[in-house]
Amino acid sequence: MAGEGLRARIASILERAGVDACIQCGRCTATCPAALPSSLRAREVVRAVQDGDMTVVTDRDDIWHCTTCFSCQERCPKGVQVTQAILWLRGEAVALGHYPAPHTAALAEISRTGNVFPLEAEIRAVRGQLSLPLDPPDCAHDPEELAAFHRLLEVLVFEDLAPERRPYAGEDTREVTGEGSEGGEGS
Amino acid sequence: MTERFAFFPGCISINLYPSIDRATRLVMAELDYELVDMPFACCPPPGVLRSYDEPTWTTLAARNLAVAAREGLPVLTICNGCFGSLHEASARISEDVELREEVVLALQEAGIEGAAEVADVKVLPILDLLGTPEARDRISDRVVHRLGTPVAVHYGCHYLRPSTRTGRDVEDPRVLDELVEIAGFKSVPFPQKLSCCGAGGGAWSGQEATSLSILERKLGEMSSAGAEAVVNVCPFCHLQFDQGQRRLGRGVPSVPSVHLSQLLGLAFGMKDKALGLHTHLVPARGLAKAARSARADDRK
Repeated sequence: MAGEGLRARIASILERAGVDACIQCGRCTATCPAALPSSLRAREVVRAVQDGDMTVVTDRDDIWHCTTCFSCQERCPKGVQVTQAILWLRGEAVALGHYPAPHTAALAEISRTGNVFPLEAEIRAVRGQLSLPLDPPDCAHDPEELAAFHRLLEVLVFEDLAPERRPYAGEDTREVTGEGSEGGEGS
Repeated sequence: MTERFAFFPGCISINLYPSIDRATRLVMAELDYELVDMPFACCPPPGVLRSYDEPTWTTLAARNLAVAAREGLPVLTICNGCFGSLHEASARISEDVELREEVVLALQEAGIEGAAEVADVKVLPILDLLGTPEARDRISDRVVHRLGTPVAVHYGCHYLRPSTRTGRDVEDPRVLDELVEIAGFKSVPFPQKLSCCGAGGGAWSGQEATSLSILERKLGEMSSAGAEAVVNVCPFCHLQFDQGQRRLGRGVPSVPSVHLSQLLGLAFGMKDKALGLHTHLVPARGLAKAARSARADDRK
């Protein structure tokens, strides 16, 4: 599926994130909180970008284990924007339909109410108990503002943000949240 | 004159943890800061949405800046995720003319008021406001109970990093520790203090095993250090600490989570129930008990 377009865009990530400066010291992996419990190895992701190895986007879900804590980017001795590169690689994966299944609900919620977390009846009642207005004074509860927000989503063609989801080859799709995570420990 | 802020509570505090929404309002009123409600939408999420499309993420964040611009007020955030999105968007719009023009055009096409002033809005996380010398004095003046409870402080990633954007000391930040101590609590040292709670980047929803494993390690470090609670400045970290302990199940050290505003409220003599501590999945019973006993002593 992935062709020359993807190759060129990965080359662009290499340039924009300063990846060519990488000396493969591995400090990024060493400081990564997700490296212990998951298959994510920041150094290898950076290496793949250096090598133009597209499988980092097309075949492996490693990049989706990043918590975007920016420790790798902060500690890189060569100033490589490691986290930013991972975020851009994710954008390429999304374009191919590769993303965690639960994110679909998050995007749908944003397009419905403007909030990624909706207000459920139970919490609405807690708001009342705490002497807060039952309905927060937000965009979701202001019809005119919400209408304008929805117009903005149309302008941005938000509904096309994520194409239909296509699991990675070999991905365990039996569970809704089964995103692989080889080597990931259970809880 | 009372300083005014466009209050950005964020969707987690209004829709999942109203205790934090409430506590912030009570505490900021006590400190004589005025919070103005405005029709904000989600920041939007710096992990999930930013991964999908940065221009979309930036433009939706800019819509919030446009809303604040209508009153000419700086935005006050109480969540690192909200700060991360709004501050990054604000910085990008300010430094990239082409991007700014695209964003403003999209906002105007949708009829969003305030679009033209979108680059003028400042974004301030609550920790930066409360860390000012003047705010420290006000806090110090209003503390009535010095409870002395040992707590772990959690700065959270997007308050600190990347330093190229935040300009902070990311290896040894002090402001949250100092505020906790001014309020009469004890900030305990622990390893990996500045590391991630495990929730960000879409991992909370998308990679549960990875996310909870990071959390479990963090809880263990805090508990071993003798912390009776973890103090956060981010409802998303709070959500991870509170719900995550439940998701991890038994056998995990219990470290109840409170937002800084709730901790300050206790020090100011406010009732733990008014601050909503009881509405958390893992209520901070030790803190609540200490506060109640201090209040009872006052009445003697």
